[in-house]
Amino acid sequence: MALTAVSASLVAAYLAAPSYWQWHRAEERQQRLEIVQVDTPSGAVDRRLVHELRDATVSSQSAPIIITYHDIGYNESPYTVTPERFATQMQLIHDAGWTTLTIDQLDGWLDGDPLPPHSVLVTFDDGAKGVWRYADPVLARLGMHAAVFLITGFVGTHQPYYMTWDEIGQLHSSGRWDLQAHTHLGHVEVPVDAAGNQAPFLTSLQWLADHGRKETQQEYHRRVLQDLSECKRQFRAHGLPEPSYFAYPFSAHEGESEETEPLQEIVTSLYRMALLDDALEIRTSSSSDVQAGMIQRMDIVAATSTDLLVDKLEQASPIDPKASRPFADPTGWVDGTNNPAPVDLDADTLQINPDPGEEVIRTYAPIRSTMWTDYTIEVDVSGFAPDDWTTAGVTVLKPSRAPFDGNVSQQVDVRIRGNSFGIGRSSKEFADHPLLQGNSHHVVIDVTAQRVTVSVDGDIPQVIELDSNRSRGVGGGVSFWAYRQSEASPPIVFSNLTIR
Amino acid sequence: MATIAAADRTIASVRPAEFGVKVVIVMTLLLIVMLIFGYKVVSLQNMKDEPFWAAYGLVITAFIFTRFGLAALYRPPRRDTENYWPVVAIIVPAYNEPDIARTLLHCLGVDYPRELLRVVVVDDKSSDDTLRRITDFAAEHPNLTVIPHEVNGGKRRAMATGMAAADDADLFVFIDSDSQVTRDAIRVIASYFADSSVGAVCGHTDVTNLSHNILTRMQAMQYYIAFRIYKSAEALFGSVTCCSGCFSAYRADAVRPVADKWLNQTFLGRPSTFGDDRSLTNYLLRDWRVLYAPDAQAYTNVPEHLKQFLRQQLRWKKSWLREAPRAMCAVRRKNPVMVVMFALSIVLPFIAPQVVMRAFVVQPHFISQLPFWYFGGVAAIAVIYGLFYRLHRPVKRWYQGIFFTMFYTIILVLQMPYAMVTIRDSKWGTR
Repeated sequence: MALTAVSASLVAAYLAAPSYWQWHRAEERQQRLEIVQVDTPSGAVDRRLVHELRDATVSSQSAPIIITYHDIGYNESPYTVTPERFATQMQLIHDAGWTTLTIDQLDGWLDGDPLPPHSVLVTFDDGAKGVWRYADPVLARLGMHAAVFLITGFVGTHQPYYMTWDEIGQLHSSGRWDLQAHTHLGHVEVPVDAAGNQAPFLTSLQWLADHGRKETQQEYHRRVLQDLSECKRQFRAHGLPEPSYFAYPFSAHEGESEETEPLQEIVTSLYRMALLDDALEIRTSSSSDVQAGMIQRMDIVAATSTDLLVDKLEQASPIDPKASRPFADPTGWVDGTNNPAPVDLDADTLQINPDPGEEVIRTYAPIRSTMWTDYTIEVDVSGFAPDDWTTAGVTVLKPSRAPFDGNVSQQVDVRIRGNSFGIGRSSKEFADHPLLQGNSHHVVIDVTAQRVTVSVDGDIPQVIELDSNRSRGVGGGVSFWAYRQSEASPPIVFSNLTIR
Repeated sequence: MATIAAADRTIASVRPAEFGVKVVIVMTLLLIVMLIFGYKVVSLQNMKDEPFWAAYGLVITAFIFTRFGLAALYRPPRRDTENYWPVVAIIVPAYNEPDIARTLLHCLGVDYPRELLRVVVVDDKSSDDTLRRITDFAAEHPNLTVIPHEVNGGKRRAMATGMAAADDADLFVFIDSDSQVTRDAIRVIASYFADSSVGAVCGHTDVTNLSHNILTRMQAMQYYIAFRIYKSAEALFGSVTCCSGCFSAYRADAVRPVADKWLNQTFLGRPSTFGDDRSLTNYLLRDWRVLYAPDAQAYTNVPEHLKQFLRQQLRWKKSWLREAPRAMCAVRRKNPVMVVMFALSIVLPFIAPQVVMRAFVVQPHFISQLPFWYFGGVAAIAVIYGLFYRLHRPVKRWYQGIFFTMFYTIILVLQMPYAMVTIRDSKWGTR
């Protein structure tokens, strides 16, 4: 009886094992055969949008505009853009005369080179099959470039969802694609407490159920470092160039506890820059982003209409300082918290009239001036009365985003009163320079990435040397601000502004 | 010298119309073969995509055609029929055999010198009146030696008893109790042993009851192919791997040293009862040449009912499985072509379940392809076999035999795993 059972199971294995193998092979083969690259024709391209995009402003002092796709295909995911939509969007960018950037060009930009005008870096996160299947043929047809951020541990898994190494190899050898990092297996959530709540792998201390505790900082450090190093190793192991850019999964880069603070340090130790991803806002990298080793991107998802894409590209397009006329442009001004704010512009003047004891800041188009590093601003500031502490200010190199924790902005603040002016650097104290008392002062600020030179009323120029750790860690546009001491204080008026 | 063609000619009626029919058959055969080759050439492009299956397809096609080719090359050896007259013992083991008298009548009626012929029938303690019918027959035919077993000992023991009773015999001819030899069959088969390297010779057996129903017609064709093609191909290398129990002859000097081993053979601790023919052949195969005598003709009855037929097939499968390793060892030192062909004949059936899996499950699932090529391939071979059969045996409703190959293919695949599981079970199960 037992012998019969043994022989029955042996025979069952003889039948089942090769059957399974055969089935598995057929499945693989099927996927190989079924999934071919599809060259999707673009839909009708709206000429109005082409013209809009063609007319987008340009400047050699700019940050890269980077857009992020996830999957291209026909699945229902809100992150998946259809091939038709993608083809139309690329066709539009192409027809508008824009160029797509490579990672080499991003490297060059970080080293200080200007970007070509009307350029965009197209990126894809995760390494989904649609990148190879749908996106690549469109890029090939239009002669475009893109970068894909791979979750190396998922490559070839969940077929047919993720690309295989073979397909990735094809992308690489096409020369159209840059392959970058998106963790090895870290694009998941891990349990963070005994109740089984989950949070992103990289930014959370994992719950160790076996030990009934959260991991220590040391264990966290080892886990994250291991994953991110393995990701790099996988590229080498598959004969691909090592990635130098890393995209944070879920764009999650800041943990909730201080134990996870080493994350950015770990990333920086392995990769030149880390990329973030904003679902809604118009984003280009600010100098404070770059200082912290980060680069901003904008999500393009299923809900992003082509109109909206054009809008994002347009709004992220840089204004050249020399071509800018802030006082003739009521749009694009923001307040101290980067929210759109009204400005009182009249006949090429800007009037700021805070309530007594209050300070009001108006920054001109921070996103579009985010990488201004070479300009001279000349402006008359008036509204000062004797024996009044009313203060006006002009800030240059103002980062379009507040510095990250532990970093300081490289911005330079010039503070003007009736009888003095001072120059401040972030938290640093203003050194006061006396001026002849007057209702109006003429301020000239000459900005380069290395130093800022301030001269008021033709007085001796004051030179401030900048000491950024990175070449792109300095940059930004201009802010105007005012403080009124009392009801009697007149409003501050900025006039005769030129930027060159 | 008798050749296969000569043997066939005696049976085939040569009518003028027959010539035209044969031309048509040969043309059709050529056409099918060309189609198969054409298809194989086209399917070569699969080599890269599905190397295993492409290779399998080529190998099995090559195997089938090679077997035809080897069979065509086989010529029975030239024999000295004048000066070689061995003592022949015809041994008929019997158990519950209704046709025993007819069998014995044919044995006694063979064209062979009376003084050199022994006919021994061993009744293996039949549970019916077989023994009485034997003794009744023996009363009229005094030349018959009748040995009744006291207890049922199985076919091998009955055969051994027969051999012991004919201790002066130079050759043992075993005939199944339901098989009949033709008049010259013993003289012809004996002449093969004039060559002292020949240890055993398998006679040719056709089906007596072929016209009974479609099942027997199918078996008739399968017997014909099995003997004319399979055994001829093996005989080319003196390596027939199974001297059919229906009608085969053994050199006594070759059998006697191994008789005890054969008689007491066990499989996984249990006595081997069936597969006596295949087993005995294997004992001789290593050291002797084993031939096929297309011109030594016998007839046998085949199962008329499906259940009986399936049980017989199962028994054959099991003995094939059990004896395959031994046969491989025995064949090892033969001609390399034989070794390869035999190895393939072992390996290919083992792959068959996967072929069926592919044709009936995998392909329909993944490429929505019904088992079109599978049936096509099986049918092509069946038609080739059928036409070949018709070419040599112009029997009525010969075409029904074509269905056999398709039927047999399914039986083979379904029965093989069952035979594997129950391989240790030695129940005879025919009757």
